Amino acid sequence: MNYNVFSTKILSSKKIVPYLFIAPGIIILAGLIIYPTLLAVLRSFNVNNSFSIANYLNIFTDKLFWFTLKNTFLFSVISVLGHYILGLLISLLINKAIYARSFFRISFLVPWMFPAVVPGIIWRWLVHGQFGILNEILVKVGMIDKYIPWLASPDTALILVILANVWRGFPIFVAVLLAGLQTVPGELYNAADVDGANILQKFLNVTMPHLKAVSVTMILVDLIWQFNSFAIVQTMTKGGPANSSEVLATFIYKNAFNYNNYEIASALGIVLLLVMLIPGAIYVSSALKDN
Amino acid sequence: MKKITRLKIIKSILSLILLSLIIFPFFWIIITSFKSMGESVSVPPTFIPVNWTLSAYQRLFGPRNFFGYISNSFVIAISSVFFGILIGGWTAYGLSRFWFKGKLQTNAFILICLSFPRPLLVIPYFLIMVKLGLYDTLTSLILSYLTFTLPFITWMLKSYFDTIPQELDEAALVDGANYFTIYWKIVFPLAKPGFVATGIFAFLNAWNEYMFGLTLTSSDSSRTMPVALGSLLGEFMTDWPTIMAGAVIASIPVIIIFFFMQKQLIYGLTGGALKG
Repeated sequence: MNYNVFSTKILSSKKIVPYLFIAPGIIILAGLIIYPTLLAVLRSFNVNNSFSIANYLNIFTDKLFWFTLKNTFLFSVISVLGHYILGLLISLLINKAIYARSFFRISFLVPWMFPAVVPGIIWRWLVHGQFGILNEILVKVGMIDKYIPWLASPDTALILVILANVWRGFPIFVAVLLAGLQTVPGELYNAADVDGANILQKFLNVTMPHLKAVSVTMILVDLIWQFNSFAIVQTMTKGGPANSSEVLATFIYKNAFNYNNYEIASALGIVLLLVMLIPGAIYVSSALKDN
Repeated sequence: MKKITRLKIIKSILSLILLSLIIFPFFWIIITSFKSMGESVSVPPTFIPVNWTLSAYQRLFGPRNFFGYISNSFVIAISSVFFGILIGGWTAYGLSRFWFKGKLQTNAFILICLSFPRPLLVIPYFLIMVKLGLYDTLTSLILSYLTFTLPFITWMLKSYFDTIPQELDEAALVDGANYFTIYWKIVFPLAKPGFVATGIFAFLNAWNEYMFGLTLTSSDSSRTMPVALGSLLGEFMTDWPTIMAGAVIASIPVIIIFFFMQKQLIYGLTGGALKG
């Protein structure tokens, strides 16, 4: 009886109970994410079992690292821009005054339905240098004379990977921006009509202000995702040919699992974490503010 | 009125053209999956198979034992969602219902975990799993998938719990229930739609995962479906129809979820994107 009273008291005390609820999750997350990260930090400073910053010096003096970093920026920024522009265009197109609206709303999400490796595989097949349908179509319409080995050429590999990545990722923007467009009150458009505003003015002064918040958040989240992209690059080019489409994630993978250099790979991982700090911090603080 | 109809027709046609371009790759993998290996590499490619054949699907499920990979992926995805909901729901309730010292920091911690770069985690996970003898087991993948399912589920459920009126908790408290019974008996049943939407989205993320799967497994007995698909590319003579058949099969669970649970999926997609 006494025990029951005691336990009821503890289990309804507003001071202790919150910590009982959050403790398991926080401890497990710390074990799953913080502990491995600390191991990676230790590993990155390890040269022949003694403490050294040589791994970082190695990275920062390696031209390939800077090239990869530049590629990663290009890959993520162009992908995010492509996702946003295509997503915005399509969501505006299918939002109102269209037949079969819900059919379009669902169908445009198709590229997003595949497991992450599938878009890479599909595009590798589409743009294949010998048997690819893209080459055949381009030859037929007269845009090229003979088949081009898109992914086997250092000049075009990265461009094609980005193109595939834009195709894969824009649907999430369609879904999110369509949801954002529902928040624009219809009366505002009527008022703009009365004022004699044209389509562009209505878009800039009525639509965009309502999409601003949702756009900023989504672009930030997408930027974080794209910076960590691995599957699409790995399946299309493995970062090749001759590192021409290398991004940080494939570079880390290569160093760890092809060269078995876990120290350099860990140091690269820490560099990735540091680069992510800025968008990550903006994202975390804005999400906390929304809350 | 007439002007609006014309606009409607133009927009619909424009959408249809754009959609055809975007859907074309999907159409092309289906076509390729029904070609014979010889026809798939004929030059120029045939737009419609001359001989429709199921041989790619037979190779996929016969010698390649694709069912094994699918069931691995399924077990791992379901488990990582189950534990994510079990642990994350608990944490989410604490974050949604109470004010306590360190709450802001706890929220921030969840969000940091949510946006944490996975390529960094892959290396220590590989080394830890080898050391623990868990390398190449389903357990290692369930643990590593929790690094994204758990923070995602926690954050999404917290938002969902926020929409359930707190008066219900207070009333039950007056009746002598403690917070733990309130969670299981009142909030948990009320939040079922939130659990379903969050769970589906987390399931898809786990089902789609590639990097951990690639680095933490080596044998067929624990290899996941996306990794098996990717590995078909590496072979000397690439069997394109079989890969495309695999891509079609791999997308089926997602397509099913799409058609039967659209609303939940869109909720997870929009809510998940915005809240994490």
